Amino acid sequence: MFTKLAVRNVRRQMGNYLIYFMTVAFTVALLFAVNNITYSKELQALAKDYDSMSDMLTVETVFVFLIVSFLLSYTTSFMLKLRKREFGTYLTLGMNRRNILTLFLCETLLLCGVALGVGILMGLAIFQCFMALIMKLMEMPVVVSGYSPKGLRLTVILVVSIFFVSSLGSALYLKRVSIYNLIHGEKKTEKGVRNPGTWLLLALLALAFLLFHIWGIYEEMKRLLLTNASDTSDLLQKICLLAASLVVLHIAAARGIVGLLLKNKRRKSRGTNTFLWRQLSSSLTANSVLLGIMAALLGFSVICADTSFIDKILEEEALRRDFPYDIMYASSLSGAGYVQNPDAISQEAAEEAIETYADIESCHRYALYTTGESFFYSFTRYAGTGDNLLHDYYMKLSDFNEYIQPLGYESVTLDDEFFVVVNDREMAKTDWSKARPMLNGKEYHYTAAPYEEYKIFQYIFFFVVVPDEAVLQMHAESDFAFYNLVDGSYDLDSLKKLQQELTYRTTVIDEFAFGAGEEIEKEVCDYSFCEFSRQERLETVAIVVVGAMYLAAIFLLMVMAILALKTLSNLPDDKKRYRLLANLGTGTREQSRTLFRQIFSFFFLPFAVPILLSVPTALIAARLMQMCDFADQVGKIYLIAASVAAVMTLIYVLYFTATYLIAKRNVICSD
Amino acid sequence: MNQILSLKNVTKYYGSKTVVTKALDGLSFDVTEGEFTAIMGASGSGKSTLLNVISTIDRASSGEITIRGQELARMKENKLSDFRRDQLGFVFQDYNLLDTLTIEENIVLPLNLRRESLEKTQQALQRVSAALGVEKLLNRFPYEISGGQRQRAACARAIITNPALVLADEPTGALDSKNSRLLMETFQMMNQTLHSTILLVTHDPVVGSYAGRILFLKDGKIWSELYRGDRSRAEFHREILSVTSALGGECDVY
Repeated sequence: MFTKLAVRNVRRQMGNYLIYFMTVAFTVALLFAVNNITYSKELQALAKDYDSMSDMLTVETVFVFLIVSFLLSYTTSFMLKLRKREFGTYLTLGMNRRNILTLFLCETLLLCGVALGVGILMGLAIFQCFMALIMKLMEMPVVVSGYSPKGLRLTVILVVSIFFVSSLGSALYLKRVSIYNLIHGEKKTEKGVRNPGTWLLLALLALAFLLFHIWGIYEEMKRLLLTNASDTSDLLQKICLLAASLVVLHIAAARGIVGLLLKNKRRKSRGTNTFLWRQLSSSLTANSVLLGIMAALLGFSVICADTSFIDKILEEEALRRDFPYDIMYASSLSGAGYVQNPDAISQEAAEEAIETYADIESCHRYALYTTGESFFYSFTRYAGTGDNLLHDYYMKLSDFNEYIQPLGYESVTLDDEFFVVVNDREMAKTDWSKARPMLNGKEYHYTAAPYEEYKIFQYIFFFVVVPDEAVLQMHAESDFAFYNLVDGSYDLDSLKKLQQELTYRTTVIDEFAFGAGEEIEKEVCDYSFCEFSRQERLETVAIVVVGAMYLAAIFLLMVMAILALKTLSNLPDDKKRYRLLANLGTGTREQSRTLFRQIFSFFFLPFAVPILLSVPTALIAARLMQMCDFADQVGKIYLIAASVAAVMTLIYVLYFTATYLIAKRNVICSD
Repeated sequence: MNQILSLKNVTKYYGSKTVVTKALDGLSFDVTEGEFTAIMGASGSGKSTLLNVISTIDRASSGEITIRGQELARMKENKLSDFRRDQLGFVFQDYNLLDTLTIEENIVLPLNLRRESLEKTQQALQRVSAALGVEKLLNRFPYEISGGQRQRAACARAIITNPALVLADEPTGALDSKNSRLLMETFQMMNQTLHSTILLVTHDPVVGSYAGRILFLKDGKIWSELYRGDRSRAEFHREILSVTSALGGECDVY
C-alpha cells in the first residue's frame, strides 16, 4: 500500500517540481561524469600526472557531496513542510508514525531512484563532453571514452548517501512533530522585520568587510607572488572571511532592504508596492540564511570559473616565457668543488641521441662562470647568512648576446661595465649600483640591464653579465645548451624514450631529505623537454578548468533549483493573493508586472553581488598578470571575466524566465 | 433616488454543449443608491453566480448589467479591472485579507492601486477605521486578530474607495452568532450612516433581516421579493422565515 501511495505522491510531485527534479538529475549527471573522469582509463594512459588529476577531482567530489547534502536536506525539509497537512491527515486517519516514516522514506527512495536513473542517462553524454574538453585542453585527439564501473558505483553510493543525509532531518522532524502542528502549523505567517535600519547597517558593514577582504586577498596573492612563498593559509583564511562577509551581507540585506522600503509610507502607497514588498519581506526574511549561503556558493562559482580560465592563460604564457626552446641542457655538478659530473652523458652523445628523435634546427650554448666568492650577494638580503652555496655567477657578454638574439632582443655592448640579470622578484629590489667588482685585474661599473625581462632557464637568483675578458681567469661552473628541433610535432612516446636515453645513474649529495649530507645514488637527466612541461601544464589546466566548471555548474544549478522550487511551491498561496488583487481591480498587466518584480527580486538578490565579483576578480587577475610581465594578456582576462559573467547570467535568466512563465500561467487571473 | 445597479434579462449558462446548467434564468431587477439589498435562496439557486456576474469576476451569457449607467458587457478587460477598483467594494465569507499585509495595508490597498496620494489615503483610512472600530488593529496582521475583527477590516477595505456598490458574499459564513450580529450591525451602520449601497448574499434569515429589501432566488429566477419598510427587524425576520418555508425550507433557520 505504501509503495502505491508513494508512487502516486512522487508522480504528483514530479509534475509540480519538474525544474527541481531535472536539476537534481543534472547534478547526479555531473557527479557521474566526474567520477568517471576520476577513474578514466584513457586519462590514466595519456596523462603524465594522472594521480594528482584524480586526487583533485576526488577532493572536489567530497566538497560537492557535503554542499549538495546540505542544500538537499534543506530542500527536502522544505518540501516536507509543504506537505505537513497531508501527513497530519494521514495521522488522523489512523496511520501511525512508523507508517508515515515508511511512506516518506519510500517516496525519498523513489525520488532518489528517478533522479539517479535520469541523471546517469544524462551523465553518459556529459562524461563524453567533459572528456572531449579535457582532451582538447590537453591538445590530444578526442576519442570516445569508456565508462568506469567504479565511477558508476561511486555515483550510486554518493547519490544514495546524499538522499539519506538529506532525509534524515525530515525523518526526525516527522517522528517528533505533533499532529496539531502538522495540520495547523502552516497557518502562521512571517512577521515583518524589526529594526530594518540595523539590518541595513549590518549589510553595509558586511559590504565594507567584503571589499576589505577582496583587497586583502589581492595583497596576499601579491605577497605570495613576490616572495615565492608557498604558505597559503592566510589566503585561505581571507577567502573564508570573504565567503562569511557574503553570507552576512545577504542575510542582512534580505532583512533590511525590504523592511526599510516598507517604512517609507509614500513609496509603498504606490500601486502594488505594499503587496510586492510584503510578499518579498516574508520570503526573504524566512530564507535569508539560505540566500546568504547561496550567494556565497554563487560567488565561489564565479571566482572559480574566472580563475580557471585565467590560469589557462597564465600557464600558456609562463610556458612561452620559461621554455623558449624545445630542449634545454644544464650540466649537473658532482659533489663539492663544483666540477662537472663524470657520470654525465657527454653533449656529443646526447646530441646524437636527439638527432635520432628529430633534426636539430639550432643550438645555442653558454656557460656560467664563478670565482667562488659572494661579492654580489653581499648587496642582497642574503648578505651575512653564511650560506656557502650562494656565490656569484658571471656570463660572458658574447654568450648573452647569442642567447637573446634568437628570442628577438638586440645585441648589447658593454664598456668596462656589468649588469645583473635577476630571476627573483625580491632580489630585483637589490641596489647594485655601488658594486665595483675587480675582475681579471680590472674594475667594472654598474649599468642597468638593457631589457627588463629575459628569463633564462637557470635555478639561480641572478647572474652578472660582463665583457668576455672579465671571465678569463674564472672557473666555468656550468654549461648550458638550448636546442630547437626541426619538426614541430611531438611524439610523446618517442620523447619519453629519448629522455630515458639521456638519463644516467649517479651519486649525489642528499641536500634536502632525511639524513641530509649523505651521498645517495639516483637517476639524473640534465635535459629538460619543453613538451613535457607543456604537457604537465596542459593537464593541470584541463583539470582546473573542468573541475571549476563542475563546481560552478553544480552550485549554479543547486541555487537555481532551490530558488525555482521555493517560488513554485508558493504558487497556491500566491494564486489566492493575486486573485484577491484581481478582485480589488488590479488588471492582468499590473499583476504580471508585480509577479515579475517579485520573482526577479527573489532570484537576483543572491545573484547580483556574486556576479559583480567578476569585476574585482578580473581586476586582481589583471594586476597580477601585469606583475608577472604578462601585461599584454590583460585584455583576455577582462574578456574571460565578462564571458563567464555573461554565460552564468544567461543560464540564470533562462531559469528565471522558465520559473516566471510557469508562475504567471498559474497565478495571474484574467477576467 | 439614483439607480446604481440594473439587470435586464440576465442569463448565465455553465458547462459544455452536451451538459448545460442554467445558473441564472432571465433575471431582471434594479438597485437604487443607498439601498441595502439581500439575495437569499437555497444552495444552487444562483446567488453566488449572480454576485459573480455583478462583480465582473464572471461574465453573463446574455442580458444587460449596468452599474452607474455603465454597461459591463461592453467593457474590455483592463476597463473592467479599473471599474472593479473604482466602483465596487467586496466583502467575502473567508475575509480575503492578504495574510502578508497588516490590517492598515489591507484597508488602504484599493487606494494604493488607484495611486491616490498618501495624504488622501491617510484621511480615508482614519475615516473608515474609526467608523468600523478597527483603529487599534491597524498594525496587526490578519492572523493576529479574531474572525469578527478581520471581517470588520474587510468591510473597511470595501468602503474606503466610496464605491457605488458594496458586494458581500456570505459575510457571516465564518463567524459565530455574536460576531455575525456585530458584523450585520456594522453593515447597517455602513448603509445608514455612510450611505453605502449594499448587495449582500446570504442563506441566513437573521442576516437577511438587517437588509431593507430581500430578493429570493430559486432555480436562477427571482421567486419572491420582500421590503422591510417600517417594520421591526423581528417582524421582518418572521416574514422572511415564512417565505423561506414556502420556498421549500431550504434556507437555514436560526
